[in-house]
Amino acid sequence: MFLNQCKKKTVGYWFACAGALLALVSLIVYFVYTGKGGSLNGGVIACIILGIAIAAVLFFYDGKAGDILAVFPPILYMVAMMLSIEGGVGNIADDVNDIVMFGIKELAVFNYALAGMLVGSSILSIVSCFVTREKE
Amino acid sequence: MSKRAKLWSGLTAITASLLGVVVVGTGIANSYADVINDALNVQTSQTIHKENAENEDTVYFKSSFGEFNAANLEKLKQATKEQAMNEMREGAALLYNEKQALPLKGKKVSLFGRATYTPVYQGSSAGNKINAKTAEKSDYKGALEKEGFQVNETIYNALATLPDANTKGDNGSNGNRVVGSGAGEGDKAFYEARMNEVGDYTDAAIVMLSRTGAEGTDLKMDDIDDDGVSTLSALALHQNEREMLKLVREKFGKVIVLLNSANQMEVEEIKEYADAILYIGFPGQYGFTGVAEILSGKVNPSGHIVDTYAVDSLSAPACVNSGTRTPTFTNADEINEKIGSAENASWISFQAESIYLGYRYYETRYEDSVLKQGNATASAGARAGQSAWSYANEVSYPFGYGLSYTSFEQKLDKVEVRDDTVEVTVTVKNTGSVPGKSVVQVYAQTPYGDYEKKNKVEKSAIEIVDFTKTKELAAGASETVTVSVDKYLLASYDSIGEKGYILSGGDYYISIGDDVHDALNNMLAAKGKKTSDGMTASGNADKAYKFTQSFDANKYRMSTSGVRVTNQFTDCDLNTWIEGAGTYLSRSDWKNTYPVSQTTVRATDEMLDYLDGDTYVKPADAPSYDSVASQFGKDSGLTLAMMKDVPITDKAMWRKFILQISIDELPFATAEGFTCPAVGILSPAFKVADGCDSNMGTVYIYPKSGTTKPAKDADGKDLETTKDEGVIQYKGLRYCSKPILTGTFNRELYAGRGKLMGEESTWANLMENYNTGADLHRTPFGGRSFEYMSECPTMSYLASIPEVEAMEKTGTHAAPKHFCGNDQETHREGVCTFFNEQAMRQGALRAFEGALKVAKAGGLMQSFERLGCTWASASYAMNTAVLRKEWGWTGNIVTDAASSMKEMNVGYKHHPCEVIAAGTEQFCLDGKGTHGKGVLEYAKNTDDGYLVECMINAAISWEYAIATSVLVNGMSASDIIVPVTPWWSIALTAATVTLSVLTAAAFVLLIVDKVKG
Repeated sequence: MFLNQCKKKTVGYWFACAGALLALVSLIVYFVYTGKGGSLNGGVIACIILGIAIAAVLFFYDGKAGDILAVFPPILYMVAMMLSIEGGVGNIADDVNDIVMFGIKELAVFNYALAGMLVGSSILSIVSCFVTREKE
Repeated sequence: MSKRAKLWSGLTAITASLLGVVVVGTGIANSYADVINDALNVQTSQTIHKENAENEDTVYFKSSFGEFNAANLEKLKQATKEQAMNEMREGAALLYNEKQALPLKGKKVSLFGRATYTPVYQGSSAGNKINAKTAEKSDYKGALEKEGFQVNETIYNALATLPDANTKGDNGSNGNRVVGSGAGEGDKAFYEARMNEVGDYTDAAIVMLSRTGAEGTDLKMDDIDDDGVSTLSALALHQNEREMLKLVREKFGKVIVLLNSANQMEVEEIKEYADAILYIGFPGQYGFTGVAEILSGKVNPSGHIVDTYAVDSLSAPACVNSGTRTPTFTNADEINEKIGSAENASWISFQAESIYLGYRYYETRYEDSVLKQGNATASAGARAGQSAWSYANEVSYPFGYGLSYTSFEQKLDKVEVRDDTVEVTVTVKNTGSVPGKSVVQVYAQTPYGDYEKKNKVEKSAIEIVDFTKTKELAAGASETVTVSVDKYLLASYDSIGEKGYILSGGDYYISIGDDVHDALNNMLAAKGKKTSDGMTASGNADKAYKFTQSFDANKYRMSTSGVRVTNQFTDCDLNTWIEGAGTYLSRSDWKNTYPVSQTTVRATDEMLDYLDGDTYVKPADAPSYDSVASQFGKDSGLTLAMMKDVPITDKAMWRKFILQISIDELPFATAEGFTCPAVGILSPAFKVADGCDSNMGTVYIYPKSGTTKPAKDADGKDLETTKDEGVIQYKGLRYCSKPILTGTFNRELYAGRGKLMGEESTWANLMENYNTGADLHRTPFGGRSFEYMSECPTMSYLASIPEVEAMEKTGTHAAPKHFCGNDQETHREGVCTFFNEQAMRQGALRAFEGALKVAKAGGLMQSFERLGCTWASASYAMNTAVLRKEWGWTGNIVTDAASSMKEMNVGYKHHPCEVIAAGTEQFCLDGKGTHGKGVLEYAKNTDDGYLVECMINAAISWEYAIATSVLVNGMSASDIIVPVTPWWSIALTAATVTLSVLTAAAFVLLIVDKVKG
C-alpha cells in the first residue's frame, strides 16, 4: 500500500515531503541548540511536528480538503522559524556586535541555520501548494 | 483538481505564512523596540520648537573644538588620535632591558608570535571594535615601518596561516568560549621552518605574546596546554610559546618580547629567553604608534605597571575562591530546587583575602617577614615547591615598576603634615643622557599595633596615596613637584571597635620609591632594617619620613555630607550567617589564615529567604497608592530646558516637573536602553554610550544642517536621517586598555581621556557613558581587567577623579561601572560574594569613591554579583546608606543588563520592588519599562504609595541627568516634547492588516472553489 501511495504521488508532493524532511532536520538541530543552552520554546516544537504531521497526512489523503490542508505546513514552519528567532535575538545581537550582553553569541549560528532551514521548508511546502500532488 | 484551487491554495500559503511572520515578528519587535529604534536610528519623540527668545543661545554645552561641524570634527578626531598615541607612549611599561637591548639600534627585524599578524587590539566588551579590516588605525607592522624598521616579510606572511590570536577556543563541554588561553601558538615545526627564513633580518627578533580578555568569562586558572592534556595557568608560558622562544633565542642575539595582554603574564620564564620585555596591554586604534616609537627610541618609556606581576599567577590569596575556581554552595541542587535555578544562587565566592589584594598581600607579607612577625615566612601560600615564603620567590615585578632609557634621582625634600593633608615635596633630576619623564610615587604606612590586632583592623604595610609625573626632563635637568595627600586615605576602617574610620595611633611613614617595593624598603631602612634582616635590597632611609599621629576615631566619623559612617555590610560576612564558616587572611598570622582550600557552606534556610530575592516589606508608614497617584497629571508648564539649571536639591521643583506626566508614563523613567524611551512630555528619547575604552557611539554631521543635529521643519520634525547621502559618520575611537592609561601615572592624560570620550559622546548626543571601570583586578585572571584600572583601590580612586571631572564638563555624564565588586566574570550573574566590612570599605567601595563622591559622576552602572545574599542592585546598604547618605552622591543609578522582565519575581534580576526600594533607579536594557510597570502594578495591588515615591525619586534623578546633559542643546524653554510612533511599527500594523485581508480573501476563494468543485 505504501508503494502504491508513492506511485500515486507527483513531484508536487515530494516538494512537501522535502519540506517536511528539512523541518525534521531543523527540529533535531533545535534540540541540539536548546541542549547547548539555547532558549526552549515549546511552540517551535509543536509547530514543526504539526507541519510534518500534516505533510504525512497528505501522503495518505489528498482529496477535496487536500489543498486546504497543504496550506498549513508552510505557515507552521514560518511561525516556528519566527519563534526560534524570538528566543535567539540575544544571541544574534551579541554575535553582530561581538559583545556578551543579551545571549550566547556562540549559539547565533544555530539561529541562522534554523531560520534558513525553516524558511526553506516553508518555500518547498508553498511550491507543493501550487502544483498537483497526486496523479489523476 | 481545479487549477484555480491550486492557485488559491498557493496564494493562501504565501500570504498566511507572511502573516505568521509579521504577527510573531510584531511581538518580537515590540519586545525589542528600543534596540530596533537604536539600530534604525528612529526617533520616538519629537521636540516641537515654539519660539526662541531673542538672541537666545540654546547651545548650553559647547565643544572645546568650536561649533559642531565637519571641520571641527576633524580637530576632535586628531585630538583623540593624539591622546591614544600618548597613552601608549607614556603607559607602556618596560619591565626588562638587559644590556640596553632597547631602544633598538638595528632596523632589520623578524617578527614572531601569531599575535604579530592578528594582535589583540581590544578586549571583547562594549565599545567600537578594531580589527584587521579597520582602515583608520595604526597597525603593528605599519607602525614599525613608519619608524624605519624593515620587517622580514617572508616570516610575517607565514604568520598569517596561524590561528587568529583573538579567536576563542571551545572548552568542549557546553560551548563556552575559552578566553585568554596561551594555547594555539604555532608549533615547533612551524617555527623551525621560520628560522630558515630569517635571512639578514637579524638585528632583533620581536616576539608578541598575547592573552585575550572578554566580558562574561575569566582567564582560566586551569587552562589546557598545547598537548591537550596538561593543565596550567592561562598566564603561564604554554608549550608552543616556549618552543618558539627557545628557537628564537638560539637564532638571535637580541630578543624583544611584547606582552599584548591586559592580564599579568608570568614573566620569569620569559626572561630566560628575552633581552627586553615591554608590556603593551591592548593598544586600541593607535597604540602601536607608541609601541614602535618606544622600540625605536623616539619615545623614552615612562609607564609603570599598576598590578603585581607574581612569579606564580595563582599565588594571590583570592584565587582559591574566585574566578574559574569559584565553588558552589554544598547544597546547590537544593537551592535550585527550592527557589528556582533562575535565581542564579548556586555560586559562592568567600573573599578570604580580606584587604590583601595584589601588592597589599605581597608587600605586607614581605614586611612581616623582615620584621619577623606574623609567621610570614611559613610555607602556607608559598609558591609550589618552596618550603618557606620569600618575597624574592614570589614577585617578579611589583606595582609601580617600570624602567626608562635614562636614569632619575628622586630626593624627598620635605613632608609637611597638616590637619587634613600631608604635603610631600620631591625634586627629580634626570641623571642619564636621554630626555624622559619620571613618576613620583608617594606611599604611606600606618601603624599596625595592639589596638588594630585586638579589633582585627588589618593594615597593608604600604599603600600608594598620591603620585605625579614630571614634564619631560632633559639630561641633567630637574623639577620639583609637590603632591597633597588626603589624610582620609590614611584612615582605616574599624568594624569592631569604633565601627567607623579611624586614624591609628602611632608611627606613620611617608616614602617615595621607584615602585611599591622600593618605597617599602625605604620605610624599612628608616626603621633600621637591612639586607641581613631579610630585605631584598638596602633601602634609602632619606626617602622616608616618619611622623606620629595620635589615635583619632572622630575625624572621619561623620561623612562630608554629615552622616555617621558605620557598619552597613554585616550581612555580607559569611560568619554572620554561619559562625566560624570562613577565616579571613590576617597579617597577625599568615600561616594559619592563608586560604589554602576553598570555603563553601551549606546555604541555610535563612540565607535562602534572601537568595530568593523576595525581601521587600512595605513600610508601616507607607502612604496609600491613591494619595500619591492622584498627584500625577498636573501641568505645571515646566519644560526640560527650564530645568537645566535647577539644582537637584530643589526637590519641590523637580517633583512639580515630574508630576506632569500620567502615572502610567512613570515606568519609562526607569527604562534604560541603548535608546532610552521618551518619558511623556518630560524628555525625548535618547541614546547612551557604553565603554571604558571606547564609547560605542557614532557622530553624525548632517548635510543640510551642517551640524550634529538634523535640520527640522517648522513643526520640529526631522528633515534628515543618518542614512541620507552626504552624512558624515565618525565612530568613537578605541583607546588603549585601561591599565595602560592608568600606568601613565599622568593626570593630564586621565583628564584627556575623560574630556575626549566626553566630547565624542557629546558630539554624538549621548546623555551618559558607562565608562571609568573601577572594579578591581582581584586576581590576575579577571576577564575584564582590560577595562578596569588596577589591583589597587586607592589607585583607582585617584586615577578616576580627573577622568570623571573632565567628562562631566563636556555635556555627557560619566557613569562609572560596575558599582561595586564586579571583580570576576565567571558566574558574575548572581555569584554570592562574602567579605568583611573593612575589605568592602577599603576595597571595592574605595575604588569607586573617587569617581562618585569626589568627582561627582553624573551616573553609574551597578554590578551583577550578589553582596552576600543580595543582588548588588537590591542592596540598600550600597545604594542608599553609603552612596546617597554617606557620600551625598546625586547621580542616577542604573542596573547592569537586566533586559525585559517576562514574569515578576522570577529570576534574580526581576525582583523590581526590592531593587527600587533599595534606591536603584533604572533597569538596563529594559527599554519598555517592564520592571517599572511591574512595580507600579504591585504598588497598586498592595496599596503601596512608598514604591511610587521611590519611582518618583528615580524619575527625578533621571530627568536631572538628562536636563544637565547635551540633550538640552537646541532646546528653548518653550519647547515641548511629543511622542512619535516609529515608522516600522506603522509598517508592521499595515502589513498585518494587508496580509490578513489577502489571506482571508485567498482562503475564502479556495473554500468557494472547493465547495463548487
